[in-house]
Amino acid sequence: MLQDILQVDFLRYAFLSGIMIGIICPVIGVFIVLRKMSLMADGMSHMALSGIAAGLALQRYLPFLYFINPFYIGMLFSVLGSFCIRPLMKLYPFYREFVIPIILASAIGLSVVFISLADAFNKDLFGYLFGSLITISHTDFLVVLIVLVIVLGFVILCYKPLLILTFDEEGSLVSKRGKQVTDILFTMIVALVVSVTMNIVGVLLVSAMMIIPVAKGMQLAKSFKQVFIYSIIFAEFDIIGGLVVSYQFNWSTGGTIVVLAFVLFMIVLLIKKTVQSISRSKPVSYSSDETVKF
Amino acid sequence: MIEFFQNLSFMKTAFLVGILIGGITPLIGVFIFARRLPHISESLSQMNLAGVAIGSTIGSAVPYLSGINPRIYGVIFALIGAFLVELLRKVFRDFSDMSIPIILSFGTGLGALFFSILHGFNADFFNYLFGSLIAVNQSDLNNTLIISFIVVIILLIFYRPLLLITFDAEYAQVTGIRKKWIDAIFMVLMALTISVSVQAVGVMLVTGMMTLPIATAIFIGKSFKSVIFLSIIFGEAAVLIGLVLSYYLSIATGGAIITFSLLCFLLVIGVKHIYRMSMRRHIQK
Amino acid sequence: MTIKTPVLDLENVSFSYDRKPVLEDINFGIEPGEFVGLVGPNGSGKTTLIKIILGLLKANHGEVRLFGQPLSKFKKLSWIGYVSQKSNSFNSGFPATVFEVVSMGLYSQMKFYKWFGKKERLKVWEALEKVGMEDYAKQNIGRLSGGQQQRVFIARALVRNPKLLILDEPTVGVDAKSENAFYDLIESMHKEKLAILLVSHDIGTITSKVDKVLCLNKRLHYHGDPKQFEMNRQEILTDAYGQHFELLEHHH
Repeated sequence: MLQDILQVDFLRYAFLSGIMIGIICPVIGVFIVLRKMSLMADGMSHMALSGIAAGLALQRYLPFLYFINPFYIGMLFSVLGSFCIRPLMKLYPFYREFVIPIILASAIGLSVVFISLADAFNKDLFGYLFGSLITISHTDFLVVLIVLVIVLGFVILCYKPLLILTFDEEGSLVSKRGKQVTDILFTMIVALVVSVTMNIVGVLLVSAMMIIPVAKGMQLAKSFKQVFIYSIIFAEFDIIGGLVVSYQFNWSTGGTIVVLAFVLFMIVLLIKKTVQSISRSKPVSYSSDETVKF
Repeated sequence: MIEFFQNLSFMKTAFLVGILIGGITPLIGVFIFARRLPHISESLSQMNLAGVAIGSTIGSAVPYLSGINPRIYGVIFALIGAFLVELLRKVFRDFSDMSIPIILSFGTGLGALFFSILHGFNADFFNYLFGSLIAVNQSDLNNTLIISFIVVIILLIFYRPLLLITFDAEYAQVTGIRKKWIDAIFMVLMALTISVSVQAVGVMLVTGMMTLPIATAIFIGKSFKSVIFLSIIFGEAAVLIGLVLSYYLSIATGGAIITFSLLCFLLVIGVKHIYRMSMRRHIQK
Repeated sequence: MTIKTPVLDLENVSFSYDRKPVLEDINFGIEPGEFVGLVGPNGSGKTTLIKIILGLLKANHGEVRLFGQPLSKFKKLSWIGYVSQKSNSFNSGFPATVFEVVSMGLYSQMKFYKWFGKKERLKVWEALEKVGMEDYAKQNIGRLSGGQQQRVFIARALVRNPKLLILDEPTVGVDAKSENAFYDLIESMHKEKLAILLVSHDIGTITSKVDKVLCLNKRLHYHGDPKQFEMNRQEILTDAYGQHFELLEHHH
C-alpha cells in the first residue's frame, strides 16, 4: 500500500490532497457550524453540481469553450446559489427552513437536465457525485494547495472579524459594511472549499466533510482552539483511513470516508455519554457557552 | 405525436405510476411543509437509498434472503434515519440544524459504499438516484398501487389528529391526542411515500417533489383544503408534463419533473409579485 | 344547599424541574360557574400549573381532580376548553382559514369515519358568532391581528361546549381596544355559568372582574376573595413578588 502511494502518481496526489483537505474542511467547518450554516453548505455543494453539469453541457454544445473547466462553472454556481438563499428566505418569512430543500432539489433537478443534455451519465459522473481517487491530477493537487494557502491566510488574517461575525451577528462591535464584506468573503471561501473537496469525496458528501469532524471535535473540546485541533485530527483520520480502505477494497472513496466518519462520530458520542453517566452530570449536550472560551 | 401514441401502451404503465405518485407525494408533502419537516424527508430519502443498497447487497450475498424486495429495506432504513435525526437533535440542542446534513450524508455515503461493493455503479443506480419513470414495469405498478392505497387509507383515518398536531401541537395534546403515536404514524407514511416516489424522481429529488408543488400552492391557496388540492394539481401536472418532456428530450425523468416544478414555482412567485406591485400602484392612485 | 362537585380541585400539588422546585403544595378548587383569576410574576410557575391541570406535565406529588375524577381517569376532555398564550404554540404560517381552525376544536371528539356535516358546521358558526368573528370565517388565520386570532382560539375552545375554560395570558401582545373587548367577551361567558380560569400578570384588571383571586409564586400566597385581596394588596404582593413588585405592575 505504502509503496503504491509512493510510486503511483494519482495515488500520491490523492493522498497529499486528502491530507490538505483534512485541514481545510474542519477549519472552515467550525465557522459553518457555529454560524448555523450547515444546510447552506449543503445547498452550495449541490449548486456546484449543477454548475459542473452546465459546464459539461456547454462543452458538448459549444466545443470552442473547451478551455473552461466545468469545475470553475461549478464554483461560480455555488457562489451564486449562496446569494440566492437570503432573498428567498425573505419571500418565505413563515417557512424559512424550506428555502434550502427547494435550492437542493432545484439544483439537482437542473443538474440532471444538464447531465442528460451533455449525455454524461457515465463513470465520470459517479466521480463527481461520490468522489474518486483516479480523477485527481497534478493540477488538482496544485489547486488544493493554493486553496489551502488561501483558506489559512483568510482565517488567520480575518480571525477577529470572523469571530465577531460568528458570535455577535446582531451586535454592533464592527461596522455593518465590515461584516458584509467578511460575510461575502467567507461565502466565497466556502464555495472554493466545496469545489476542491468535491474531487475527493464527491458533491453529495462535501458538507459531511465540513460538519462531521467538527461535530466530533465539539464533543471533546473544552476551548475554541481545541475544537479546531480535534476537528482537524478527526478529519485527517477519516480521510486517510477512508482513502486506504477504499483503495484496498475498491470501494467508493466518498462513501467510505463518510461512513467511517459517521461510525467514529457515533463511537465518540457513545463514549462521551458513558463517561458522563458515570460521573452523573448533565445529559450530553453541546451549547455555545459551554465550550467556547477564548 | 403519432409516434408518441404508438408507444402509448408502453408508456401506459409509466403514466399510471406517475399519476399515483403525482397524487400521494404532494398530499404527504403538505403535512411535511406545514410541520416544517422538509429536512427530515430529505434524510429519510437518503437513508432509503442506503437501505436499498444494503438490501441488494444482502440479497446477493445471502441467497436465502434474496426473495426480499430491497425496497422493504429502504422503508426500514428510512425509519431508522428518522429516529437518528431526532436523537442527534437532542444531542446538539443548540446546533440542531447540524443533525440533518450528518444523517443526510451518512445515508448517501452508505448508499454509495454498498453500491460500489456490489459493483453497481451502473444505469440502475442512476435510475435510482434521478428517477426513471419510463423504466417501470407491471409489478412496479402493482406495488405503487398497493402502497398508495395504504398511504391514502392511513391518512384518511388519521387526517384529523394529524391536522391538529400540525397546526397546534400543544392544543392537540390537550384535546387528548397522543402526539408520539401520531408522529410515528406520520414517519411511516413518509417512509412509504418516499419509497414509491423514488421511481419517478429518484432519491435525490424526492424532497423536491414533496416541497415544490406545495411551495407553489401555498402562494395561492388560503385554506388548508385548497392548498392540498392545488398541491396535488401542481404535482400531477409536473409528473405528467415532465414525463412527456423527458420522453421527447431524452432527459432523466426526475430532472424534467423537478425542473418543470421549479418553473411553475418561479412563474407563480413572479405573477404574484407583479400582481402585488400593480395593486400597490392602484391604491396609490 | 346541595353539595356541588368542584370543576377543578388541586390537593397538595408539587412539581420540580431538574430538582428545582417550581410549585410547592398547591391547594385550590374551582366551583361550577366560578371565575377565577391566577396572577403571579414571570417565572412563578403559572404556565407550569396550567400544564399540570391539562395533563401535559405530571405533578410529582399531590392530586389533580377534574369534575371529581382524578386526572388520569378523566376522559371527558371536551369539557375543558383551553386557549394558550398567543405566540406560543400555533403554527402561524399554516394555511388555514378561521372556519377550519374552529372546526379543529371538534375533531378530537369525532370518529374518523364521521362526516363533518351540517350539525358540526352549525356549531362552528355558533361559536364564531359568540366571539363576533363570523365575518372572518373565510380569512387566513395568519393574516389576522393578535386580538382577532385570540378570539378565533376562544371560539375553537367554545365549540367543544366546555364546562371549564382555561385561558393562559390571553391578552399578551393584544392592543388595548381588543383587550377591553376581550374582557367583555369573557364576562358574557361568565354569565352563561361557564367556569373560567384566567391566567394573567395584569393584576389591576383582573381583581375587578373575578370571583376569586389566586396569587402564585412557587406556592399560593393568596387564595380567596378579590375585595380582601385589594385591601391587603400591598402585603400580599410584597410577599409574593418580593420588594420590587411595583415595577411589574401595570398602571391604570
